[in-house]
Amino acid sequence: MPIHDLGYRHWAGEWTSHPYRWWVITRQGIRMLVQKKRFLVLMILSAIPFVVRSVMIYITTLVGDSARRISLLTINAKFFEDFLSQQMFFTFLIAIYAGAGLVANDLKANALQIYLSKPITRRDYMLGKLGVLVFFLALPTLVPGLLLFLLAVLFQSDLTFLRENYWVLASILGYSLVIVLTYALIVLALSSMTQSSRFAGISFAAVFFFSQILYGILSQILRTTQVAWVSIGNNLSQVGDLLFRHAPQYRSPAWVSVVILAALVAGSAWIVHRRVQAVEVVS
Amino acid sequence: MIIDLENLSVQFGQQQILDGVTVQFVGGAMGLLGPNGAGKTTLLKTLLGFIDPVSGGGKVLGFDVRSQQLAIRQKIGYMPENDCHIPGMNGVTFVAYAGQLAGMKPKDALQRAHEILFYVGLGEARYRNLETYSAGMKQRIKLAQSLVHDPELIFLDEPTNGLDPRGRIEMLDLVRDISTSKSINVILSSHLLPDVEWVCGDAAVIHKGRLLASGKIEDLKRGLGAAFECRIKGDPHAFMEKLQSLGCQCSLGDDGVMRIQMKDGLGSQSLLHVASEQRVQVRHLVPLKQSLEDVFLQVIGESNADS
Repeated sequence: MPIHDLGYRHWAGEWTSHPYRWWVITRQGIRMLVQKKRFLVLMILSAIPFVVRSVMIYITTLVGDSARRISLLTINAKFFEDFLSQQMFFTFLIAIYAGAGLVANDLKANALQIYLSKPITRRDYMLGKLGVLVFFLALPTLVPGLLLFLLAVLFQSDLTFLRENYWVLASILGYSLVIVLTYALIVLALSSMTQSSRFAGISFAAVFFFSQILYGILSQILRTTQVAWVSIGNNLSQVGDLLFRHAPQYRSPAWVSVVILAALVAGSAWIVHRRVQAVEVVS
Repeated sequence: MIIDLENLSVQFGQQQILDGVTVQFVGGAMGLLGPNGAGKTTLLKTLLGFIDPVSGGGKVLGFDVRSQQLAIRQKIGYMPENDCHIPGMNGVTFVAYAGQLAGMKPKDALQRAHEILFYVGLGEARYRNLETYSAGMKQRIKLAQSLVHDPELIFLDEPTNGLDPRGRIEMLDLVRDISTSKSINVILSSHLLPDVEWVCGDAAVIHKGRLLASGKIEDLKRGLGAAFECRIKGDPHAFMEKLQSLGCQCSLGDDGVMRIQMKDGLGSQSLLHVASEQRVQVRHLVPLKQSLEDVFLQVIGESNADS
């Protein structure tokens, strides 16, 4: 029977289980973003450094021991850290493109009432939106990072590289997660504070640039890099150095950067949780 | 029992929004009446679990409003008052997405979305982007998303807002069909009394956060007593004063026609007796059919007089 002849029928199908309800939001968010051509172009561009580094690993294998004299062709922990730090440029752009409108557009269209009138909690909504960002931010960081490591292992004739660098796998995972969660939660928090995705995007960029400019001014005045913790980017670098077992780039203690990033992530999550309400209470 | 509330109170800061609301709804369609700002939407949002009551409580479909909010929302549909949609979606994607959020599998939700969109009259427009929908279509798509998961109860908050007369009648017919033919219980919140009278068998009147009256609309009307349209020869003011002293409500129109709401228990005989006492001639006396508006005006009037 054609659908238009059916009228209203009661439905007695199977329900999905509640713990995975957030995945519905993530899946829909991913689907909507991949339909945008500009976004796809950005994602493809973000894969170029991975291709370049893959070629470098291949060349290193071809050249053999003489490659060790060229620092650029040395495959070690620094190689992977540099790759992830380089990718922060793309994660920054992807966070703005994918994240600025995630909550702001829902606020503008009063969509929260639709979401929260369904059997969905605020936490499900947050997890769903965070899932979209984690997916797209992990694509240029965690995924190629792990693939590069796999390539480096596969291109070696023996297991020496793996034996000496197995811990780098955990560093790649840890550093990628720090980058992804920091960017994702800050942009979500800013998106939840406005109904304009453009404003959220500009605010996100401003937060990063302002903190970097502030560091530049303070380090010039005080003639020390001990104030590196005022910049979000510097904090990420410090944590990267810590995870990849390098001497820190700046003189500020690494634990301060860890605390600041943890506070930023926790504070951002708190803001999103507070702002995601089905009812706006004006006191 | 579909809804059973006991002494439910809600506060925003120091402001009392709902004050000890006690109401029962056994099923069918119930109208939630009240002027703007009376607390109708707050009551619906409290039942949905969006707002925590400060005291009292109750059950919706047997689930506790304080502790079983997800179970309640699984079984109810909500059509919000204001314009709302999920940006960047077309009609069928939006309704299917709403179904998935309610827990339907993607394939089931998509099939159901097509069915529901035809049911609400958006079959031809289902692939259009929501941002291009007219006001009437937006109301229909909100109704569709509230029905997609086949709820046992739906909350409709001002469903005829912004609709032209024809659209309004179509929407009300749809709501009436849902409650009478599809066995879905309906709570219709509206300040438009004819809408409620057209669709609902029960009504609850809320004013300043308090429940003033509730029950079957016919019972509420019966409780008002008789009403008459009356024209007399003689002094209308003395006549009206006498009636008012007996507890009746009177108003005199520009055309000299009086509208008299008799006190419960008094009828035309009493009115004629007063006319005789006041030595006025009754030239015209027609019993009036009571409407929900009369009930509403009376309980609101009494409430205002009390406060």
